[in-house]
Amino acid sequence: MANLIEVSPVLSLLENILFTGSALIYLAATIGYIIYVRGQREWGSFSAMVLKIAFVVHTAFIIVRGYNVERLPFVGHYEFGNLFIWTTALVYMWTEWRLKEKFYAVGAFITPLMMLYFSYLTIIPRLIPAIVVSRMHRPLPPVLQSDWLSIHVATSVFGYAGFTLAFAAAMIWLLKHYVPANGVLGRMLPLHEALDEYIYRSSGFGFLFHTAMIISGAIWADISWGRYWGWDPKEMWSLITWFVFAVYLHARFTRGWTGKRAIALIALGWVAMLFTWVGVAWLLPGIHAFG
Amino acid sequence: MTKDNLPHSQPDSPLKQTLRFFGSMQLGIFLLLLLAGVSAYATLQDMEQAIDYIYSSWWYLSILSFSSLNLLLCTLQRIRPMFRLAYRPSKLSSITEIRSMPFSREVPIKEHLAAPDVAVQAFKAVGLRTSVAESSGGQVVFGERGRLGYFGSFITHLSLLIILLGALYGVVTGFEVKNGGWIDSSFIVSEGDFAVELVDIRMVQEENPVMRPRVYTDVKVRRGDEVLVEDTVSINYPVRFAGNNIYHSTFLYFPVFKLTDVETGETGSSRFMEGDRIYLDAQRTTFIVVQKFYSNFSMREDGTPYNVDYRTIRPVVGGILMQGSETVGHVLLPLNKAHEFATPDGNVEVMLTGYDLATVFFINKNLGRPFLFGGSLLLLLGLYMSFFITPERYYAAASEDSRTLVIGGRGYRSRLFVASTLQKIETELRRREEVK
Repeated sequence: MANLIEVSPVLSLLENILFTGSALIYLAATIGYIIYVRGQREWGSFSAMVLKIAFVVHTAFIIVRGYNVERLPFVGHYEFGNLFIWTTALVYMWTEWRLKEKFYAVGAFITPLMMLYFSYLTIIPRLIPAIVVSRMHRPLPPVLQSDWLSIHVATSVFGYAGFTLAFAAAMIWLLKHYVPANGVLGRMLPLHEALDEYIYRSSGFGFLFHTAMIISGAIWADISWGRYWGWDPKEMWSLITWFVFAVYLHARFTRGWTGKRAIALIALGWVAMLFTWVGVAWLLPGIHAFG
Repeated sequence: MTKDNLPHSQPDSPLKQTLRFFGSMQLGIFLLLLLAGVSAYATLQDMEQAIDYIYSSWWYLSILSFSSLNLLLCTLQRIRPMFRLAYRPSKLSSITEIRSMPFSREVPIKEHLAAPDVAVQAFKAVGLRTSVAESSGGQVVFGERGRLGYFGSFITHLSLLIILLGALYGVVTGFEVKNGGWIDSSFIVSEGDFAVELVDIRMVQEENPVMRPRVYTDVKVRRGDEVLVEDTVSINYPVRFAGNNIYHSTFLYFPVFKLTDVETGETGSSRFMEGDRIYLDAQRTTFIVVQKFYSNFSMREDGTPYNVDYRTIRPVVGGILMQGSETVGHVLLPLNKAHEFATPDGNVEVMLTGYDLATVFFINKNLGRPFLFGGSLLLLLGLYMSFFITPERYYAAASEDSRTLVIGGRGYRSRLFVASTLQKIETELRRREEVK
């Protein structure tokens, strides 16, 4: 007997159309941002508008998905992945709004990362049969029927979004370091000082929410299982990610670490974050295996 | 050596040097990276093994202890400099100093206006706390905001210490036990000096029976004749009293078997759990090892038994018939259907006559909980203060010829915000038309 919620074919189709539609519009925004950093300045605001449209369509998808599963769509790789991408777009758009066109170039690096995350939900499971990202509409098991689920997942995606933004800016920093300053790319990318602060602030933002995620998870674990910490691989990799970003934030603030050493730490932190999300699920199963 | 001819700076005492080393940021960073590396390695091992041999090992606990010591010393060493930084800013900055700040600019002012007044108004307009100080070169206007941001890292470090102390206090003063039972049974928790009575157990199936059902257990906790608490335990809803907590851990079934000696007609009945042996003869050579209770039994094409869902529609117990150390074969014992087994003492009839639903609890006492909770809230506050409140300081003074206002600023963590605030100050000055 399949453990599924009955969903009308129309709503199921609508959900799939919105998902595919948002992915395609995000792709269009990605292309737009790439054209922007290649010197076509007028593509900056246009790509930002396309990104906003993609975000609206993606929001509609999340609402329909939530309606179909009769709960907040926060569980499993498919729902979590979508929420993560949505939050990344939201956080980036917020910085774009705050800092105006100074950071359109970040869009050329953040949107490909969002496409990479989309590929985990779509293409990668087709290429690697061991990875199964189910789109089925499943009800929540009793252990997940808790208000803490929303807090835990929401803080988690904001933390991951901050780290993704920091990584995107770090990649720009690295590229800027190697391309000629007076070339097209060199002129379109923000200054190193500005990028350094962008990385620092994004990491700080991600770190605050990542900490909130660990704390909310610990409180929830205490309520459900009677212990704050179970040494589960997911918990441990969340902590490892926290350690790496803590090292970066300390090194940057007290030792003045900027440049390649700082970039290396950000890259390491992003890899740890990615492993926490994807790697642990398929390589190190534990109590967080909710599919 | 007299006091006058001492070298300009004396080396610190060995104790101070040691304390400085253990509280240093370099050591902190090294320990964090070490913890990250070791923890990553540990996750590649089997979880139980990692808990026993890595996370509980003396060396892992030593790294954690050193990290705590580092955190404590680092926090203590920074109290005075932090307060000095926050409350004793150098308000007097010469024109040269202001010009050499990371961000500075010069704005022409009308000759008849007093430069400090103009600067004070502009500083206040952008939300700075403003004061004016006299220096040898004239008046210097000082403005600042985000002073709380200086305390962010201190509060963060302090909160981590509170969390660590709370965890330690919880471990030292608390206990953890696992126990359970069926309806009308009770057990004693000697560590907490109380007994738990299971008054009722109710299973509520989900709409879809493949989903694990919810189990509600009414418990009565007693100490002697006194009832300490009467409540219901279920998943995500523990019962808490006087620092003790009773959590629903899992549920299981205890099958009840009736054994009948076919020749004498003698019968006996008993509960068993998975892993138990049902001895069929007096010498205990023939027995059934109870393997699994299937509440809704079915069998796959290859003969493997499985549970269709959580409903108790076709209860069957799966077991292994043994003779001595030899396996005779697998047996399936459905409800109310007798099976006859040959033993050296004669034939014995075994029948599954029922099953009792049982709850398993995880019971603990953790007096460190308030510290952990308070420390966590403080941690979030500290991080918010660190990353979202940016201390900024601005200075302004009239140039040597009093024709321009020199404004400069520095940020504790941010450069971008300083540049943007300076821009706002300049815009404010121009908006008021107090410039040429």
